[in-house]
Order: sequence, then C-alpha cells, then structure tokens
Amino acid sequence: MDDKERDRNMSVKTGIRNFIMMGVLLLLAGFWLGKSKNSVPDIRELDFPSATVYEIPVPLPRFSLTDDGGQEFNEWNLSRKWTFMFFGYTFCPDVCPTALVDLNDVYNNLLEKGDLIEKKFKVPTQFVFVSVDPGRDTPEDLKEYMNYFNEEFIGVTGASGMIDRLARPMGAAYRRVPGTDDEGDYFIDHSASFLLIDPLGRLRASFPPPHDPGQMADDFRNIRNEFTAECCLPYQDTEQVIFDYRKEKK
Amino acid sequence: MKKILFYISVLLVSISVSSSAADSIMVQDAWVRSAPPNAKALAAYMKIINTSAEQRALISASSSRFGRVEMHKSEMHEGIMKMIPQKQLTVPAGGSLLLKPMSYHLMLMKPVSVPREGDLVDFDLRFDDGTVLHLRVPVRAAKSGRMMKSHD
Repeated sequence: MDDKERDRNMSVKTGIRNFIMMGVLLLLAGFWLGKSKNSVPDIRELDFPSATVYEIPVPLPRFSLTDDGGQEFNEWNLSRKWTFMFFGYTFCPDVCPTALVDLNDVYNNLLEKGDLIEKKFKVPTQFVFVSVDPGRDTPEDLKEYMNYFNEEFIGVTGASGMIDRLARPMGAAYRRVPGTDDEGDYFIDHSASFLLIDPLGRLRASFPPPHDPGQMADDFRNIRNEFTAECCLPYQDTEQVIFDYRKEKK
Repeated sequence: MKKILFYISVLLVSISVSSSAADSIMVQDAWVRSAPPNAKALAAYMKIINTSAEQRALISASSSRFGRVEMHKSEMHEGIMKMIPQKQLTVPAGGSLLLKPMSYHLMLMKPVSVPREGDLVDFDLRFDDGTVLHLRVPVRAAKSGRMMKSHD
C-alpha cells in the first residue's frame, strides 16, 4: 500500500465518519423536534407497567347480582370504593385459583403497607369474583370457595343476562364450551384480566395476565393517587355518588 | 410441623417414583394445588423427564381420589383464557415437559373428597410405551405468583 492509497483510504474513512456524524446529529435533531412537538408522551404505558389505563373511564350499566351472603350486589356496591373484579368460575382448576392467589398477594401487599384504604379520602378497596357459571355456582358455593382464598373477597353471581350486561362493557368475554365426557359437563373460556373499577363505578384499568402482584399493587397505588380525587372530591362531604349513565342505552 | 410433613411427602414422592420408574421416564416436583373444600375440580403439576432416546407420551392418568383425570393446557387466545383438552402430553427424547400453573396440567375432576394440604394423592400415569408410574403426590398451596413465574 503506497502513501497515495493510504491517503485515499483515510479520506474515504473521514468521509464515512463525517457522514455518520451528520446522521447522528440529524437523528438527535429529529428526536428533539419530535419531543418538543409531542410534549405529552404516552405516559400511561410508562407509569403503569402491569396495567392498561383508560384515559376516559368506561361507564358501566346498572346491574343487579347476588353476593355470596345472599344480598343484592348492584352498581351502588361499587360506589366510593376501588374494586378489583375478576370473572371466573369455581369449576376452573388452573386459571381461576392462580388468579385468586395473585389477587390475594395484591391484597396482602396493600394490607402490609396499611394501604387497603386510601388515606386522603378514606376510600376502601374491595375484591370481587364474578362467577360466570350461575348454573353450577350458588352463592353458598361461592362463599366457601372465596373464604378459602380470602375471607374479605366477595363472590358474586346472578342471572346470565345480568352477568353479560356487566361483563360486556368491560370487555370481559366468556364462552361456554362442552366438556370431554358425555355427562353434560362444560368448561367456560373466559377473560383472565383483573379489572379495576373506580369509586364512581367506572372501568378505569385492566391488568392482563401473567400477573405480577407486586407490580400490580404499585400500579394500583399510582392509579389511585392520580384519580381518587377526581372521583371523590366533589362528594366527600355528602357521601353521595352520582353515576355516569349517559352512555347507557335504554 | 407443616414443613416437616411437606418434606416427608416430598421424600415419599421421590421414593415411589424411583421404585416404579422404568428408568427412562421420571417425574419430579409433583404437587396437587390445594383447593377449597367444595372445589369441583383441582389441578396437578409436575415435571416429566424422559431420559430415553425416543419421544414418549403420557396417554392417560387416573387417581383413586378422583372420578376423572384429564390432561389440559391453559392457553391465551385473543385475551381469553382457554382450557384445551390434550389427547396426550408429549415428552421429547432426552428432554422434559413441565406441567405448571397457566399451562399444561392434569385436571382432577369428580373428587371423592377434596384432599387437604399435606395429604398424598395417588396417581397412575400411563405412557405410550406401556410404562405406568405410580405416584403419591403431596397437596400444597401454590406459592405466591411472583415466585412461580421466576421458575419459567
């Protein structure tokens, strides 16, 4: 390799280097411009790794179900509480027990830090398991089943039309599929997300599986910090909650 | 005390496996998920190890404690969790198959009585080469979700 060739190589290298430098600068400029133009990045994704948070909460319809004590459970049972809701059935051997153990971990995480009740507005947290199998899960069955996981958890079921009514706007789909024997047994495929309902009875977030209870509890705290005031501030003196039914079709 | 019981039961499992295993197929870390006393269905999990040079399949399972034992897989489809019955569970040559929560499991139906934590549940696992494993599997609570997920 003579000197000339080396020079040429050098200048080619310098050229490439300059070219790359320009590229990097342009990219940085692009990022900067992009940032300044779009100064509100999608913080929801960043702030809540375990949850999908609805910027506009989803209002839920009126409904009437029965809790595991035989009492009516309707939209008023969601008012002034944060509610974790899960749709499942007790015949389910794998997914539902896994979910209930995860939910119990979330509960314990909150309990251990004295966090089950939101401190500023004294808004409690409740955990509700909605059985999508009213044909096999009686309220008494549900009580025994829930107590095994956590005595504070509330089992709820009712007419399948009512369950549909509550489940559909939350995207909690479920579907009955025949079992493998000839005795009329069946399984139910169902959504395995935890749904978080705000103190105004609106769907605020969902937590898709696989669930990480520690992360869920942290995300829940952040969601709660951000939105409890919005839900409860105007009503804190009167204990009165006005539900948002505008989108409900009669 | 519970802990001691658990270790004894783990020991029992390993003993009964090693005495009955036709050396090429083994089961490790088997457990039945403890369930509410009125549970209508339970699940059993385990690691099935195949040391042979041929693929093996678990073709059926039974237990004196349950009227019916099926092989299933929980699987996510478009946000919906499905339980898909499996005709058999294939264990690759020189490999293993892990039955674990939210995945492959034995579904235990029609319990004679729901076993309690610390109980041992007998199982017969039949494989396609004629091997039958007789297991006594301890019943225990699921560990917290966090711990189980890190086992993947």
